[in-house]
Amino acid sequence: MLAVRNLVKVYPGPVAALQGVSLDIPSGMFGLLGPNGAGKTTFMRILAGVLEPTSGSVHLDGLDVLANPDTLRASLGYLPQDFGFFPHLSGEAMLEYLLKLKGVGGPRGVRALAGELLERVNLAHAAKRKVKDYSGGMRQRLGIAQAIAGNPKLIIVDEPTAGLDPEERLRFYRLLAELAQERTVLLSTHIVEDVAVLCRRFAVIRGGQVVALTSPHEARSQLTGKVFEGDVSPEQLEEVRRTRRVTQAVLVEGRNRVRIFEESGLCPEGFEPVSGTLEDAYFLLMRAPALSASAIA
Amino acid sequence: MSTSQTASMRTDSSGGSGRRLWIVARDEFALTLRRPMVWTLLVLLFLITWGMSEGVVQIVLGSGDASVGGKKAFVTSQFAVTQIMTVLSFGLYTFFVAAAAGLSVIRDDEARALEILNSTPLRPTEYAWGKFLGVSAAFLLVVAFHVALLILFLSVLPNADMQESRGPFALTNFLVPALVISVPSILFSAGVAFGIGTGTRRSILVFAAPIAVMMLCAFFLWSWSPAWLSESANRALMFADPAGTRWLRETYLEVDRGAEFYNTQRVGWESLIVANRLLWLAVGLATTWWGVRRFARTARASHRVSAAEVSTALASAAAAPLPVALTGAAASLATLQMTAAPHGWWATAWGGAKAEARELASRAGLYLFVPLIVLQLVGNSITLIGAFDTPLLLTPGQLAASQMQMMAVFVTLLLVFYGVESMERERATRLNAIHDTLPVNT
Repeated sequence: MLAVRNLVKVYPGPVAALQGVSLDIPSGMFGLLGPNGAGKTTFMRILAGVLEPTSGSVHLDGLDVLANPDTLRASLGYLPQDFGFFPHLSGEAMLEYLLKLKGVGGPRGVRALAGELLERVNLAHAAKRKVKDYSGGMRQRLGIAQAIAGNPKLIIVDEPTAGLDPEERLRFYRLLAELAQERTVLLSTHIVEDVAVLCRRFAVIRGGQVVALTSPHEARSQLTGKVFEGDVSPEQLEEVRRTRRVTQAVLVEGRNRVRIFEESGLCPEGFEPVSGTLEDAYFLLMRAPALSASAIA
Repeated sequence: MSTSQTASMRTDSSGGSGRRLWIVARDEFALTLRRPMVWTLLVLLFLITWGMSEGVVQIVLGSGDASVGGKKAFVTSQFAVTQIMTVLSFGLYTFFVAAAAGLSVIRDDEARALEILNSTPLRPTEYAWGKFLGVSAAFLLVVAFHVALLILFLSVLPNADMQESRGPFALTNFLVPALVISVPSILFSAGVAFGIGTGTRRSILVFAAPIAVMMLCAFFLWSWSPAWLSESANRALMFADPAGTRWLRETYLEVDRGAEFYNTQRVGWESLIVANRLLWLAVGLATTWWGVRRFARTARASHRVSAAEVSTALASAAAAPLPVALTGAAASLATLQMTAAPHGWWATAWGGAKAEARELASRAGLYLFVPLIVLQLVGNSITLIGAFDTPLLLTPGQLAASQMQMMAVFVTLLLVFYGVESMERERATRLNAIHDTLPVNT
């Protein structure tokens, strides 16, 4: 169990990136969803021990990780949002180097383990190639390989599917799901689908505050019978925006396809009822003036 | 990954700090030896040493010329090797060492590798000291190679033309100058460059210290020695010379003692030069320590802010407006009435020049270099002496003529620095991906 209490981070400026975040993150996959600039990466970096908070506490299974960062790092797998490797090393050599620094070994030695991990992330064919020649997706997979090395109790992955093609994304989903069976995996993303597919529970963060703590199923069920979709002309769109709670509006073949949320459940003229998605819930939360009590567990 | 497979991995924290430092140092050592710049240095050392063995290259600081008649001064004497090591350690090695050591951490930072390294058990101090030890060890190996080359070409390989210039082989003639002169010089250069590079993460500043010290040495410490200078002041200047050149020149070479002396005697390493070497070695290590400490403090950014700033930030964040839904999405770009017409050559060049001037004005190094240059030129002009050690009357013409060369060197170096930095900026900031697609005449 990862227990976060009143985490505050203020950058010089001063700019408040986190405004007292408190969360209890159980074992398994947990998602952190929010728009760019919401404070997700700051939160993840603090948990990973690479950034000091202004105040607050973080405990992993009772251990104060802010006071004992070295203990945390021995049981941490971290995939940052923005990272790189030594360009002069091959993928295998880079991974071997990181395994040695982490003190991770295997029954057949570090090199063999590095090879097996590369195979796990579908990178065995490029093991001998220099990292500088890797594509963005390959670098991401190498990052994943180092994050899962050494049986970490806690895995923190920040925007992990960015740069992965659909096939790799599915493969990575499976890998994360397997890992989450035995440990806490904290996944930060702004891609709603990542959370919908992977997470039993997730928190939505906005402006450095947690605005919802729920599950994909709960979030969707709150919308049952309350989401409607219809086509409106460009002239009507502004009127709809003023009078309705628009969750999404996309331009399809010259017409605006609009999804709206109606608390009353009454279908407006020209609209038809549709199933609410996690994206609808997310957009509603992002624009809600206050926490939706029903959405918070 | 299945449970059985993950369970087969184990985390071993035994060995701890020393083991991790060793891993980093070993990697840096191997990387440094693979660098083209090290191979360039090795080729230069090879050519210089080969040239010396053939008599086409001479390295002398003021005496012991082996080309004149009479008894020849040996190129294998301890005096000769000390001169070689003094000149090359500071005049040649410095630039290679400074580039390799100073950019070591900056390179990893630019590769964005530090974020992952910071999340491993590797401590910032282990990482930084490991880097320094690795790069220093690589250059000490180069010195060993250099000594081996000197022994091979000057003593071992037969050369009938140079027989008169070769004395009996003595290993100490090669080893002692390398240990007393080269090792401290290299560790000083490596330490200062590494400390500055690691502490500031500004690549341009890495070269500032070696260049400034080199200029100070070349145009003042090694050359300025009027007859009226007192012995104590002269010894103070010897002590202040990081290369040890002034001590060697003033003690043994200024007055020629004859080939017999240089061929048969050994350099007397008095307490002044020993203290000098230890001092500059300590300066190098102290600068490294400073850089490592600063790096460790900033590696896991704490961003210290006052309680008042925290309150202000939290209050303004709480008052921030909510995200607005889909505003303006339907507004056509046509309403902006944008026009597009590529600029001509002059307009483009003028725009680029203005942007470059603004960038240049924001460079901290410029405000360090320019005063240093002015100080050096003015200082030199004031202390100009004539043929009979009399002060010279300073006229504009005299000033221009005497400082023209030095000024040209300084200005050229500045232009090289900032020219290269300017060309590299787009690549380093990754702006080139956008910049190269602009309708701009290159």
